[in-house]
Amino acid sequence: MAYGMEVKNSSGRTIFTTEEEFCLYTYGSITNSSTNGAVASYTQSAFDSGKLLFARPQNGESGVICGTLTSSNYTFFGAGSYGYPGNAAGGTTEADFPSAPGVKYTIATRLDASTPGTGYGLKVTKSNGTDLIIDSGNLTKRMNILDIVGGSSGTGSITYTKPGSVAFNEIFVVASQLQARMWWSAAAGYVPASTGVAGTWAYFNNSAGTITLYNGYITDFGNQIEHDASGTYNTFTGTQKVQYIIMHLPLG
Amino acid sequence: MAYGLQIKNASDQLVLEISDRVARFVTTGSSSYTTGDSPITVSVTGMANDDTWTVIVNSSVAHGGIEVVKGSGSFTMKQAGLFASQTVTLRYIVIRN
Repeated sequence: MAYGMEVKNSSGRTIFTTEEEFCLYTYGSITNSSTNGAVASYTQSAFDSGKLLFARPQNGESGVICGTLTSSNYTFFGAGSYGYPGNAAGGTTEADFPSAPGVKYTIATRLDASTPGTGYGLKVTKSNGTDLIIDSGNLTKRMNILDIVGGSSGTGSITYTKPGSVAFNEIFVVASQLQARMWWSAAAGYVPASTGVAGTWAYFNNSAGTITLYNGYITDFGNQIEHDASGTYNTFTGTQKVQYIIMHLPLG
Repeated sequence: MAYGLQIKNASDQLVLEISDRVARFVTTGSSSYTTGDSPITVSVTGMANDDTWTVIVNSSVAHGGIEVVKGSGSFTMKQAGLFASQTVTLRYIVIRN
């Protein structure tokens, strides 16, 4: 760079530079919800403005992180039912998927949408002199990318394994890109015509310390599918042409 | 610390360390995509097909099969596996790290 300010990390990656004017993200606090099908105040407009919804199961839990993004909110999987669960005609639920029981989530916002802090600290703005690139007064929590996985031309799911030095309960994925739909269609008698799940979702395995990421579908015809996102019972068909950010949020 | 950069918050907690890999916002947008169309090309100044660039994509129809391919100065996105004659909105956020 000819002039300005630039900081790189110890691996040579840029932390910030006035040359590119790409701002950092910040977040305030993490919401813990034990509700299946929790609703986050994160909308399509929030996505359009560059906000990121980070989520994971509650501490010590395994399960799928997935949901539905609308103009009103983001509703996590967990409360939906399809067909006639519990009845002779059959059916299934998001809890059977198995969705995570409850969820932890937070919404990260762009620093250039923040009001600059006052007083001491470090503040770097874009060339317009007002929009923030970095501001120590607004960086209240640490956000460290552990890895970015996917993006290859391969097929099937992708599994990330946590490093030994990081608590699994502090590792999140970007739920903004995680959506799926489930279905169960009854046929003659008590046999379903088709049943399945299609979309993009993340399965957290707490005991193994792994996150498996899916972008495609599992389905079955003529049988009651066992909605097991860990892949034990189901055959998944999908692509790896999507990237997933694995984020460490150590300060809750 | 021996050298480098650290930022702590008012509670003396570390919020930025010189070894951190941070997400930086680049741009956002959306486009319509119809089943069977060629992938949508989005221009992004300076983009390269390397691990410093990431594109987060969300579809208005949850059906998986989203495909993103990064290139020089642009990326493409599409959604495979949609039902016939379905038109969706593909939203994207470009991140650099």
